[in-house]
Amino acid sequence: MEKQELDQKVLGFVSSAYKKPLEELSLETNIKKDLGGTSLFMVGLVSLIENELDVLLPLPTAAGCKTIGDLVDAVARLM
Amino acid sequence: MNPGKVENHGTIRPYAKSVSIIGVGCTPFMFTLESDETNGLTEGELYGYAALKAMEDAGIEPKDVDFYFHGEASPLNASKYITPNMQVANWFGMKGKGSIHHSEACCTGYLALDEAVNAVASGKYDVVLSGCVEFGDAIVEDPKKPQYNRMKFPMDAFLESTAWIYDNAYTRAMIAGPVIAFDDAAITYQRQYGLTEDQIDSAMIGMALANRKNASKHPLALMKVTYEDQAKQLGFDDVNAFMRSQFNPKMGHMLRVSGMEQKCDGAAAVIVASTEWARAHNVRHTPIEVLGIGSAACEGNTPHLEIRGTEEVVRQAYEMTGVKPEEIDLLFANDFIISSQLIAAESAGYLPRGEGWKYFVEGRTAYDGDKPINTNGGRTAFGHAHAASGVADIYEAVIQMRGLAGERQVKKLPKTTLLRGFGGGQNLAAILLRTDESMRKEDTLIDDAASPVRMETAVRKYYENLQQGKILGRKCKRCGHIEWPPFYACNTCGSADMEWVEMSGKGEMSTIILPAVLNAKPENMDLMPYAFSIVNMDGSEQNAIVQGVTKENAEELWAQMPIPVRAKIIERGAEGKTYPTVIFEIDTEELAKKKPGKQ
Repeated sequence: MEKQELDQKVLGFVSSAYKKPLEELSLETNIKKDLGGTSLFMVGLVSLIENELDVLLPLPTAAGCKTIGDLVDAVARLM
Repeated sequence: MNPGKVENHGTIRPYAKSVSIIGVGCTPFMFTLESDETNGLTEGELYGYAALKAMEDAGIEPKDVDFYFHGEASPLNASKYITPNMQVANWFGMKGKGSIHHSEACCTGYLALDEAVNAVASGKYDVVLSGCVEFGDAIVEDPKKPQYNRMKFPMDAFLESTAWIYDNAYTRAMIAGPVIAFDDAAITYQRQYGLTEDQIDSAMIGMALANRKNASKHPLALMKVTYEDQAKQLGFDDVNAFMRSQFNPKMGHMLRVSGMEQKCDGAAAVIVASTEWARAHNVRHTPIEVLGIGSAACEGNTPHLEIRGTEEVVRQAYEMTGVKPEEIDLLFANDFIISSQLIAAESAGYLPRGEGWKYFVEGRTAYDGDKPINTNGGRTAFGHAHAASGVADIYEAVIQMRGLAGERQVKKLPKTTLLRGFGGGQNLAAILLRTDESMRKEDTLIDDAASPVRMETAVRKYYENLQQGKILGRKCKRCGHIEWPPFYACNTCGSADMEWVEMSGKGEMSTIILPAVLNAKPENMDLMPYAFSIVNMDGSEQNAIVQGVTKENAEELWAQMPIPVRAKIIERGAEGKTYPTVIFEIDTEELAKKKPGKQ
């Protein structure tokens, strides 16, 4: 998968999991500071990544990502 | 597929003495960090508020309560406490009374009632308080700072500590035990009764919809927006399509996000008394008798432990009490994994075996259905403040049995309620409650606006005022005693009707303990010379540091006790992490007046 396509897919997953409009998100969005939300949102996000991309990203790895861009990189490393 | 049974059965008998619930109290279940009104709440404030509300609900005062139990799943995570029962009593006017802390993870709140009822049924006590508190979302930021400084519980830290629930001789090493429970009950049920994956999914979605619907009518619930409304906001006309969309992904083999607990902060408390005492003391509301409680504990590597354990605790509860399944009017199931509703309901005979799943699909388990379950919204919607959740369920059961649940009141006033507790690697409990109609009262809601019991961030206020150079206490409007540092209730007379006052800053010390290797911390060397002492300021006694005491003048000071002192606000803590606190110094001017010949 091309990097740009992966970026868009992960941004879409974040939008669904955190119930935020896609246009408010970018690779620079800080997951904790900008998105907030409950820890269950992160579980949902990682689940979406697993369900849709078949990439089993460990929760502690995802929780350690500062930005959506970091998350994309973490997913890319496992593809 | 046959899930099997618990091998070892205990023998339990009816209580030696009838015990009833006479009062209940509950905080909102919340993310305390997300509101300025609640950001900074501490263990004592949450537990204290719930305890005082329970006493108010019963129409009794702290002096009437003989003993208290304190439940918390993870005091070490939440506040870096090991014996948290001792730290809360001052908040609700029970300083000095006996207490026990217990911890059974998510089952703590159900066993909290078991502990209290046993204590009264034994004849040892007449009236017992049992409360639970949990910070599932806001943990202490730095154990070296006062605990009103809190931060979000990081997901990785939560998952790491969740593993502490499980056996570390074999189970953790064998990997499956700590995680199989997320899906085992649903998959076992599906295979046992030949359901399709879509059918069991529909049932679990039905549970989530009903929980949110119930919570939307509950003023103390965490998640008050129904899934129907959320679906509309996100462009879905059909809520079931929304529940199967990317907005609600499967995160386990079967379990969706909507079927998982919403961990949060909260506390709840219950007061029990012998039914005889309740009858003699004209308590405020209808007493609810605790008929019996069954319990079991299945270590995490026990196959199908939730199903086996639930069957066992329900068996015990029915055998102990003679109650029949068809007598159950209302059911609660600790559903941090939402399939628990199905397992508990069928094991209890509340729903027919193998057919119960249809009730969820048809929406019959919401508060307005014919088989209501978890009318507060359960763990996925009311929220899960782990230890406190069980008591929050008992709170809701009692409110429903009094007929005071307002919009979410079930159609038929429940006479008999069953609550199934579950949690912690795993403990299980089945509680049977019943209203004795001969003791029915004209129950009415307490006017919270007129109540002196308030949940406020008193600790934060105290420290913020220290930063402004003010030392605050709380004065009892009834007896005049001042609680310093401030607590919610008066530990002299028990009243919760208190007002903020500024302390005089003048006090007297009455003992001298000189610092030595054992008790003098290196970080306090800059305060030397000082002694450890007891200081009485405006009638409130505390252990404190008093500067100006040396080995050389100690004997002379002893001869003049009590020694006048004055308060001093100083900064403590590491650079960039300081906080203000209060110490004292000898008031030399006042002391001079005490010299022989000047008195």
